Amino acid sequence: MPVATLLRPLPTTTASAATTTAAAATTAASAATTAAVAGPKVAPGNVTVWAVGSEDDAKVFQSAADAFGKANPGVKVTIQPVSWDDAHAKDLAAATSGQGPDMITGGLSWGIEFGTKGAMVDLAQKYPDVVKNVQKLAQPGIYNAVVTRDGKVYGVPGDLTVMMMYYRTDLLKEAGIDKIPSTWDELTTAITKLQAKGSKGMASSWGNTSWLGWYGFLYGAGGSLYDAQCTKSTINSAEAVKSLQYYADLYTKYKTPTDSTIDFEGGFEKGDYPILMQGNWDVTGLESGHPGVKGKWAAAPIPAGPSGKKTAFIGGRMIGIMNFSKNQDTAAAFINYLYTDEAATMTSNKAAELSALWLPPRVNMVSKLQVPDDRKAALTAQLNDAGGPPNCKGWEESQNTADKKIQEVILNKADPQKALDEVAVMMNQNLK
Amino acid sequence: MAISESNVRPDFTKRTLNARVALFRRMGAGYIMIAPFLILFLVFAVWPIINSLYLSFTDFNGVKAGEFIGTKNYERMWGDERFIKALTNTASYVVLIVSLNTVCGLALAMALRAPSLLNQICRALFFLPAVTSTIAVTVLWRTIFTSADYGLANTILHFFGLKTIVFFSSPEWSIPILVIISLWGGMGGTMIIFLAGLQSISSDMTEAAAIDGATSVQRFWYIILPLLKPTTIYIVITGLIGAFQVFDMVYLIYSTVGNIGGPLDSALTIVPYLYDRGFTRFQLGYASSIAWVLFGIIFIMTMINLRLGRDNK
Repeated sequence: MPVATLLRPLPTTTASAATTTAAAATTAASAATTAAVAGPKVAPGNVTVWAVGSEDDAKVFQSAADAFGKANPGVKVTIQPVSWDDAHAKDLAAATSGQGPDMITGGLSWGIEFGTKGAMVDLAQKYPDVVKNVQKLAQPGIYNAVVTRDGKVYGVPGDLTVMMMYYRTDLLKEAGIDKIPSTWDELTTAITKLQAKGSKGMASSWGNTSWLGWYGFLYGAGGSLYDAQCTKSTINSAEAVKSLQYYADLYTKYKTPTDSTIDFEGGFEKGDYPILMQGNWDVTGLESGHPGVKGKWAAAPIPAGPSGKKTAFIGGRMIGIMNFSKNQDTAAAFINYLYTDEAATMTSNKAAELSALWLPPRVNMVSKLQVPDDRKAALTAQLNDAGGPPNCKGWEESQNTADKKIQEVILNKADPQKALDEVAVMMNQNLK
Repeated sequence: MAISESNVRPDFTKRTLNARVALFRRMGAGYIMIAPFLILFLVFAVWPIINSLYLSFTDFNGVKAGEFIGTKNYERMWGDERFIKALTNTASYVVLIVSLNTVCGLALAMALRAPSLLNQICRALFFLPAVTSTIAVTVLWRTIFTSADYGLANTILHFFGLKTIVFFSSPEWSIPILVIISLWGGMGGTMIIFLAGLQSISSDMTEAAAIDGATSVQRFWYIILPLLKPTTIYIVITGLIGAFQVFDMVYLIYSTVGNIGGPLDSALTIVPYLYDRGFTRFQLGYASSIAWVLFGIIFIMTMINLRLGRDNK
C-alpha cells in the first residue's frame, strides 16, 4: 500500500482557489497537447531513478521509462524500487556522498526538504518551460504543495493519492441507509444505524488519529492550517476546534478504531467496518486482495462539512533531479514526457494490469483509468475538491506536535481549543 | 678519552634502533596480519565516531558542510520536550528490562541446571527466541497484541471475561509491550550465561552448607548469589548497553511515515528519536550530539556498575 507523505497543508484561500479552478484546469488541460512541450535536449546515456514504493509501483513507472527510451535512441531510464522505510535515509546518503541516482521520487515534501539543502535541481530556474507545462496540467492542490514560498520547484508531482470513502452497499442497505452519507450528520447517523445492526461502524486507515486523517474535516468545517500568506497559524480557529471535536467524537462516541495495526480492508470485507476512509489505491486494489467484496461496495467523496466543502487530503509522490546528476537535461526531458497523455495512459494501463491504481497528477486523465464508471466519477468528484499539505515554513517540524495534541484530544479527552492553541504556538514559532 | 655527548649519542642511538628493529621483527608479522581488519576498523568505526563528535558541534544537515555552532546542540537538548520524553521512556524501559531479564534468567538457570534430558530440552526451547530474527519476532508480537479479532492477547482476555485492550493506542501499554517482547527474546540468553556461571561454582561449598543445615534459600542467598556476582555484573552491564540502544521494536511497531514514537510519544526512546532527527529531519549535527549524550550515559552507568562490583568484593 503506497503511503503518501505530506507536505504542508494548503491555506484556505488557496484551497478554495484550487477547488474552483480544478474544474477549469480540467478543461484547460484537456486542450493541452498530447505531445511533450519542446523541452531540454536529450543526450544518450543511462538515467537511474530511485522510485519509492513497491516493486509493482516501479513496474508501472518503468513502462513509461521504456517508452521514453524507445522514443530517444541511446537513452535508457532504469527505475529501481526503494521501500518507503528506507528511501529517505538512502536519498540522504546519496545527497551527502554526491553519488547515487540521477532522479528520486519520494514524499511530496522531500523535494523541498532536499532541494532547500542544496541536493536537488531547482527546475523552475533551470527548466522553466518544463515547470510551466507541469503547472498547466497538474492538479492545483498537489502542484501548490511542491512549490516553495519563493517559487522554487525542486520536484514535480509524479503521481497523486487522495482520501476517499468506501462503503458496503449491501450492509448500508440492510441497515436502512438509502443515501450515501454526504454530510457529517449523515455519516454519524449511518454509523449509528450500522452499529445497531451489529457491525462496528467506520474505520479510518490512512492518517488514523493524525492531522492527515483530520485534514478533510478541518477544511470541511471551513478551517485551515495557516493563513494564505503563511504569516500565522490558523489551526486554532473556531472552525478548526469544531472539526477536531467532531473528529474526536468519531473515535470516542462512534468507536472508530484507534489501533492502526488492524487489517482495515479485511474488516471491510468481513463487514466489521462497512464504511472505510482510505486512500484511492483501494479503488482497484481492494477486490484483488479481498474478493469477498466483489459487487458489494462503492467509493464516494468524503462527507462535506458545515461549510459545504468536502476537501480531501491529497498526497502523492514527487519526482526530481539530483544536483550531482550528469544527465540533468535528459532527466528533465523524462519529466516532460511523464506529463504527456501517452505516458499517463501507459502508466494507468500498466497499473491496471497489476491490479494497482496509478493516478497521474492530472485530473483530466482520470477518464482514461481502467476502473468502473461509478468509481471514476467518485474519483473525479473528489479530485475536484482536494488540497495538499501547506508549503509554509516549519510545517514539517510542527507535524509531530499537531499529531500529539490531536491524540490527546482523542485518547485523553483533552480540550480541543487548548490543544490547538498549543499547536498554534509551536507552528507560529516554527514559521520564524 | 673524555666522555662527551658526541661519543655517547651515536652508540645510544644505534642500540635504540637495533632494539626497535628486533621488536618489529618479533611483533611485525602480527601487526601485518591484523592490518586489514585494523584499517577497516579505523576507517569505518573509529573515524566515524570521532567525526560524529565534531559534527555534534555543528549544524550539519547531511548535504552541505555544517558550520561550527559550539555547544548549541547540547544546550538545545535539555529544552527539547521530545528528547526529555525519550530519555524518561528509555530509563523506564532500561530499569524494567534489565531487572526482569536478570531475575528471570537466573530463575530459569536455577530451575534448569540439573543435567537431565528434560532440562536440556527446556533450555533449548527457552534459548530459541534468542536466535530468531528480531524483525520477524516483532511482527509476530504486533499480531498478538493487535486489537483486531485475531489478536491473541485480547482473545485470552475475552476468555477470562475481560474487556478488549487497545494495546497500540494506549500510552500506558507502550513500554510494557516493549519489555514483554524483549524479555521473551532475551531471558533465554541470560539463562545460558547464568548456567555457565553456576557450573563454575564448586558443589563442595553448597554440599558443606547443606550438611551444616543451611536451607536451599540460604544456600542460594549466601553462597550461590555472591559467587555469581561477576556473572551478574556482566549481564547487567551488557543488558544496560543493549537496552539503552533499543531501536528495532520501536521502529517496527510505532513508526509511521513521517513520525515515530507511538501514541503521545509513549514509545519514543533515544535511538529512534536520534534516527528521526538525523535521517528524517536532516538535523545530523543534533542527532550526533544526542548520540554522544547517550554514550556518556551508558559509560557512566557502566562505571558505576563496575565500581559497585569492586566495592562489594
